[in-house]
Amino acid sequence: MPISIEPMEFPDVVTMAIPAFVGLILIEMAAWRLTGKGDYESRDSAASLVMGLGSQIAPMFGGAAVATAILFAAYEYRLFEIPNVWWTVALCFMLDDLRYYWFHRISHERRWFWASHVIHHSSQHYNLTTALRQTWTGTIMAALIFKAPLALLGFHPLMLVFVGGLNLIYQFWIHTEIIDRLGPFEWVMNTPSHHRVHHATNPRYLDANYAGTLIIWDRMFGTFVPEDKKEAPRYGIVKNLGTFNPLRIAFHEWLGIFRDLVRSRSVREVLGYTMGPPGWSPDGSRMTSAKLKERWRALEAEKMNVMASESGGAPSPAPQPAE
Amino acid sequence: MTGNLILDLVISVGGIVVVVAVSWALGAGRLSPMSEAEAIERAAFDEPDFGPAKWLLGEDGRAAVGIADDGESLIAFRVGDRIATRRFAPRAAPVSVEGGALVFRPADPGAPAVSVRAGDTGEASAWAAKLG
Repeated sequence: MPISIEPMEFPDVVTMAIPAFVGLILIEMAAWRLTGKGDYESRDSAASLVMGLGSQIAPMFGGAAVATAILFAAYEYRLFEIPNVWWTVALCFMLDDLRYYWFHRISHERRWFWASHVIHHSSQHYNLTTALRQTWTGTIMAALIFKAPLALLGFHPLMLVFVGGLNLIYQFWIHTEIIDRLGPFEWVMNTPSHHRVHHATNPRYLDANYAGTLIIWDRMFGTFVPEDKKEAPRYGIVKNLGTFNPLRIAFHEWLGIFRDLVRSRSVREVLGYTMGPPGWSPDGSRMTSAKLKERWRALEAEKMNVMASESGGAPSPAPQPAE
Repeated sequence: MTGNLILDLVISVGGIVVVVAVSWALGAGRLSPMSEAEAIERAAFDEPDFGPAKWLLGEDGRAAVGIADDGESLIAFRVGDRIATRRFAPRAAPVSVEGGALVFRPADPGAPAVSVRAGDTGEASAWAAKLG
């Protein structure tokens, strides 16, 4: 007989995990001082934690209510009656993780979504406080476009919030440089090594490893790139922020979009500036990640050819950024 | 956490203060001036096709500016213990001279005004003439 889990019984796992987050951050700091692995900078950490606090407060200004309304409205028109039992929670977790992969991928590939997500990548450090550097403006989009289909399928909105919370908690511990590779665990699960690649700005690592919990999605959809011991990740964004001001961190890309839209002269430009890849410009004068990779490949090929001609060998092919 | 929004906020802010204070006590508040070599290394990573440049490192080590043979320029500036850069087209750097310093005001909202302290106003003006 299935064990029923009533919707009201889903705990607020993220809130419950906050003391553990703080404890683990303090442990990581101690490990940093003792082992020299990882790195902390006080103002960077302060900015990340304030962004995390803000991300909990911002939805109270209407975003949470709208997102909840959307999910419950979708659930009203559900296609299936899915019971609240352990195996549906597990199924929901898997599907939500797949949902997360695509939402996360689009958050990197389309500027409108990047404007929210860039906040999480805006630190040049990579430690457990970076995990808490979260958007203030992402709630509605996440629910509207990506979570609603799961509610429409018949997963209860509170179950969706619950599994989303589990996913968020899982992703906390992978934001560290202290943990090296984890053997066979790396094949299936997202790990610190995989996620370091995701946060790196080295051209060979750009736009890779979008997974939340399961790295299998990246392996399936061709976006998996392993960490290369020969090239340490350098974290941040391709045009790093010059500020720790939380308001600037939260809204700089939105302000950039606004400025570009004011200058737009056609529908094409409006669409490009909002739904094009980050770095899109009508005249191609700015750098998208595709262009950055192209430049990197050209420069690497040039270097290799110079080395080959100096040693009298054959020219080498350009390197490839992904598997 | 407690059900009381104000109390939750006070606890959260208290937690942030504790974590930041511990990080500070452990040495994460360190700041050191940037060297020219660091500026050049960061520029080479961010803009690998930025040509060989002549550099001016600010006297306070907070920022540096490089100008390439083709007139392109690049500023590198401290952000905490890291460095960020911005690149400008030939003779298009948004620069002015203010009290012996070159002050750059990039258009993008993620970059602050960056001041590169030159030796004197004359040197700053000579650089500004080449940059903007």
